[in-house]
Amino acid sequence: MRHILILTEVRFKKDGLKEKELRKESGSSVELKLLDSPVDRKKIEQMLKDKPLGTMLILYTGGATRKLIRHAANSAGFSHEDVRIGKIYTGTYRIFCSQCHRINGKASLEKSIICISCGQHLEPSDHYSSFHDAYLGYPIL
Amino acid sequence: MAYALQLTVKKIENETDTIKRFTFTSDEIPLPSFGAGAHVTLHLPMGRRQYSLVNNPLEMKNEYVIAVKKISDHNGGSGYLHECIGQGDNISVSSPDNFFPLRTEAKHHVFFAAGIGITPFVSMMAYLKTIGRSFELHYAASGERECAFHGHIQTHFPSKSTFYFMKREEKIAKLKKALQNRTMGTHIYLCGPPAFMDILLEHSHELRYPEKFIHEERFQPEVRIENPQPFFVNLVKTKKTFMVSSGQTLLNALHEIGIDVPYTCRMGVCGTCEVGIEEGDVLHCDSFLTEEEKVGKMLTCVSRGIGHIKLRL
Repeated sequence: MRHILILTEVRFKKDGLKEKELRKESGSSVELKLLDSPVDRKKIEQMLKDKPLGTMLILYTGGATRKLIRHAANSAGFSHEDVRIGKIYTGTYRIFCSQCHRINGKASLEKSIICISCGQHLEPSDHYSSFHDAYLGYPIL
Repeated sequence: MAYALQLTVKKIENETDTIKRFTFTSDEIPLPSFGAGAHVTLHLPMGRRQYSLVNNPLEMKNEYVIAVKKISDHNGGSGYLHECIGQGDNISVSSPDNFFPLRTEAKHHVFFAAGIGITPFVSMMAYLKTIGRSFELHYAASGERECAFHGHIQTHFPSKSTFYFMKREEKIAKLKKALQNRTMGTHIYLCGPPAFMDILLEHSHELRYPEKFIHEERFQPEVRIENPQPFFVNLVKTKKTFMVSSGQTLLNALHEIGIDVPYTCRMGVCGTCEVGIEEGDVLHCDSFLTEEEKVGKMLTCVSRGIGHIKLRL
């Protein structure tokens, strides 16, 4: 089992703790760290330094912090696949329009939306892009 | 795809009592460049033999340098090179190939070598030193006298190298310790005899290091069949049937009946000689195919059929 480091913002603490318990139950050694606000890249780099080979990083943060941590993690030797994004229940998500590629902000995953750019009727899917920090919206014909 | 070059033996030097360094060059063509960890294939009368290049790829002066340990008489590749090849001789050499590259994403490279397994690391260390990257070497040998490149390593990488000349048990314990407590950003490379590789690989599993951080180059196939049995092969497209004898590889048998399956490493590493399985059970001995791929494919250089198999050829 890999060593797991969970980094969570205070507002997502509940989600982070839930993840910690689940991972513990499956036998992993788990660390959870609460992030100060605003997040300081140097502090993150220090936190990620000298983590055991094979450590998996799980993030419970908003988009901007996530980007900053990803960069710090890459500098510390974590590859893209060593960093996972925890599912956060904010109620609204970014939806990527599969037709015009516009990202629609503040949409629900439960309801279909109309793309603000091309007017396409979109069905949000659970296909998440960490690059765009958005879920793919399929066209409803 | 590697192609053959006609090169001249420029220099032969003694590295140890049993290891010689051969320098090949050409006055006519610029030799293709290569990456650290690459090898060349020598076309010898007894077949093709692969040897790691030991030169610094960034300081290559139209030369390929290899080091060969004599482990056979002149009927084998290493014995032939030691006994029958001299300065000024011409030799056919395939252009370099690399199945053991450095991982560019690594922040720190850790090399574990035993015996002649040092060769790819000589090139890698020179390369990393030139570009200013972090590395360390752990090198086991039976003694200083038998330790190839000992002086070279002491001169060029003294603070980054640890030698292990002690007794076997102590050596294993110390090498295992050197493998422990590694941190993210580290990539580990192993090269040496199978027993050495297996001990360190097993320990890396005990330490729960993910496989993607461990890289190995073997002198022999990952799995060796102790008592190979003959088997029958049916080629479904060309409609040929033949037997592979106990002393023959499937690759050789295919070549004998005129089926030109391409190949490179002949050690189950590169995947060049892969063929599709139509039907039958196979003893897989390669380190290339995934478990899923092994269901429908096999590498003809090392893997064998059981009883009767059908291939999509």
